[in-house]
Amino acid sequence: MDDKQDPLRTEFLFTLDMEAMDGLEIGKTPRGWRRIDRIARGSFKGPNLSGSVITATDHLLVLRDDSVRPDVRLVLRTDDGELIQIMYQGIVAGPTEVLKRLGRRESVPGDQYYMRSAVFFETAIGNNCAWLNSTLAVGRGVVRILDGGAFGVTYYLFRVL
Amino acid sequence: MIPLPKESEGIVVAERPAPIETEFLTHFVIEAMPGIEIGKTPSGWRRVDRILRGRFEGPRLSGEIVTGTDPVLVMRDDTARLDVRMVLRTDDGALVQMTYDGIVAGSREVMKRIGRREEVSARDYYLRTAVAFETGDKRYTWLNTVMSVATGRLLVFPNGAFGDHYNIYQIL
Repeated sequence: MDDKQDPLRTEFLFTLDMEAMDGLEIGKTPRGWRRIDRIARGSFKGPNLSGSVITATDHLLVLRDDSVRPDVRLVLRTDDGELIQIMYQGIVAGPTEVLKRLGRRESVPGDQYYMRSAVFFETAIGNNCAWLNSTLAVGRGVVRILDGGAFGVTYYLFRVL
Repeated sequence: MIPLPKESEGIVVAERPAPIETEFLTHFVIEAMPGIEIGKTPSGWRRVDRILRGRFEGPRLSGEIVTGTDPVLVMRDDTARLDVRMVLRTDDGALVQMTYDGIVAGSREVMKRIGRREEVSARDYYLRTAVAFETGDKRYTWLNTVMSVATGRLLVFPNGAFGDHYNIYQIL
């Protein structure tokens, strides 16, 4: 087998900031604990692409090993008015105690858990940002408790080159 | 209606986040059987690729592919979408399910040449996948919570068979 292992190259795409509403606890299902998070508002900002979050929903699942699987669809509007659908699936993992604290929406330092996602985009052919249709991105996420107690999620997205 | 949180809460955006860190996990060489052309469907052109054999080698993850299927979809912009499920058997006998979604993108001319299974330089297209693992084997539990991505290139073997090479990187 050939042994070439060039390092993976990535490029910062944008920071995605979202503020969640109260979660809808579907509860214990055959697949795990299901909670639906909706986004009240959000924005994204990067060197070439910025705008706002129109809508977003996360049908997250807590598995038997206490890790969480986000499964998110969102719609963004860029500052020049183009609409982008984003789909991402991810993993939130860490010690059970930390994950329980996150589940109770307590503030936990971001280096105590692993929150990563793989991100795909869809936008109209012909849009300025149509290059996103053939882009895979990865996200590094942190959970934040906003002033007033609301739950926030920030993702730093990087395009896989 | 669930009330919206207060309007006053500012949103803080980091302008220059720390770069994402990755670590090489393993690399795959995959040989595919001839594709099954389902043909033009409402979703796009559908072809189902099955894996004939394959091997992966890395510092912590080496073994053979037991089985794998990829219902490839070629979309209206000529890019292809991969949707792969495979079963791996590590050299020390653990069974691992690996799934990945991916993109193959390039100019229309390049994508046509790939469709005819001609040899094309990997610089001329973008083949990237998002990879997840599932296992019950205690020695590989760590794989269950690893998010990884792969850079790929297409292979044409001396016997004419088609395949792929992937470098898989763990997102740290």
